[in-house]
Amino acid sequence: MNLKNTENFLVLGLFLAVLGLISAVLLAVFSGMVKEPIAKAELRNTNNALLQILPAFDNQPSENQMTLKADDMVITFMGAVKDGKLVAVAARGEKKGYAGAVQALIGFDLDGKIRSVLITGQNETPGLGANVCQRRFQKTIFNLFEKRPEGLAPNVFLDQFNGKSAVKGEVWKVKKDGGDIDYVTGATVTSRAITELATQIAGCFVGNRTEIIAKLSPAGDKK
Amino acid sequence: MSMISDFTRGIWKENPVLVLLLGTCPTLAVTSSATNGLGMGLATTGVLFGSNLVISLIAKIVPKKVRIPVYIVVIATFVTIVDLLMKAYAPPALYTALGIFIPLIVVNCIVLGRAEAFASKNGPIRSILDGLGMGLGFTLTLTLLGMLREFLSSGSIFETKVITAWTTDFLLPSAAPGAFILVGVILAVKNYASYRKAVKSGKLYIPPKGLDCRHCNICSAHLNEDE
Repeated sequence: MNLKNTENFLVLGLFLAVLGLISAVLLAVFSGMVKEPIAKAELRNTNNALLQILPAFDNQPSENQMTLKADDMVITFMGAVKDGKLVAVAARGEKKGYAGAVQALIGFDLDGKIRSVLITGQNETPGLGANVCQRRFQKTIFNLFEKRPEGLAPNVFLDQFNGKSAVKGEVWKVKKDGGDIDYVTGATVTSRAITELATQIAGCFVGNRTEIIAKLSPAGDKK
Repeated sequence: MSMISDFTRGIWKENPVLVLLLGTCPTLAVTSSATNGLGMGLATTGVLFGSNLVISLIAKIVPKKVRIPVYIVVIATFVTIVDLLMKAYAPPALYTALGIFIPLIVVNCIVLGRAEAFASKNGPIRSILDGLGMGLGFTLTLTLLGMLREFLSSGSIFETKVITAWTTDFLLPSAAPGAFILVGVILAVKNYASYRKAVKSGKLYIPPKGLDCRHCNICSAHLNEDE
């Protein structure tokens, strides 16, 4: 039988089926091999973000979490525990920005004050909306070989929320909408989305503070 | 000798982006920075290496009627492997930036084009060299375009500010239309260089297939006999 010129559709179908099977088995074996590194990489990414906005902790906050619903947004709260005590809470939520969802991770002190805001997922216009979301130290050819400063890189817009805490009935707004948050020209939609995100998450945290703290405190420390 | 030209051909003479004009989608979409261009180029090179090798090995037993689906299955397998590897080991910022364009290497014309035009007709060693050469040409072009776009939009290269006084981003080069314009500029420069070279050595400049002179007057001097 000449396999190369065959027109028998059974043979053709069988050939494709066998090839598909071989490829599926190969991929299954391979994905089993890299399963662990991928899980490790994902955990490292989450922890990198959490380490930047929370004080030192010794538990795994992404395993000590609860979700609440505020309006149309699902907010995930993660508790950072140190020496058997809850020290801070991180909250994650997302809202529609200019292009797709903007995902924020906000660190809170236990009294409801915002430690810092970090944007962990966005697809805004590069150069405009994206600049509002990014925290990074500017590398230049002049400081290329200097040691990079540690900790959270500054971002003028996001740093406005540091130290703020939600007051019941008060909604944060950008200046254009009559509030007091400075927005970035050319990126009003993104600025507005992040402001709304922050006000909703902070409001939800303050509103349900006792419940969240009780739930996320390690067992045995519940008052 | 022919083995060396198998490798070098992809870099300049038959550069997949600038001469064959294949793979325009990732070329325009992911080259907003030099790092992204480099990452995309290397991922595609990995796929080209694997798919060219396997296809050259199985080409003799693949029925002609179903060769395209067979090639696509082989290519898709390697793309999935590259995708999983990047998920595990690539810097997270790079993986996020390339996003859907890594799985989309499956439909990148360069990979299928080389499978059909080269790997299915040549032995494994020559096919590997061809895959690596084409991949390197793709990588270099994407990195060059990424560097140009990044520099023109914010004065930096590989996320490092070269002109420190440049504080406000210029948005056109970092958007898709700017990419189109810059690809056009690079194409023009490349064609002009090839034309000059041909004229200097006294030969007739033969433009790459599909890019003939009918609508272009750079080399109309050679078309006088048609008029």
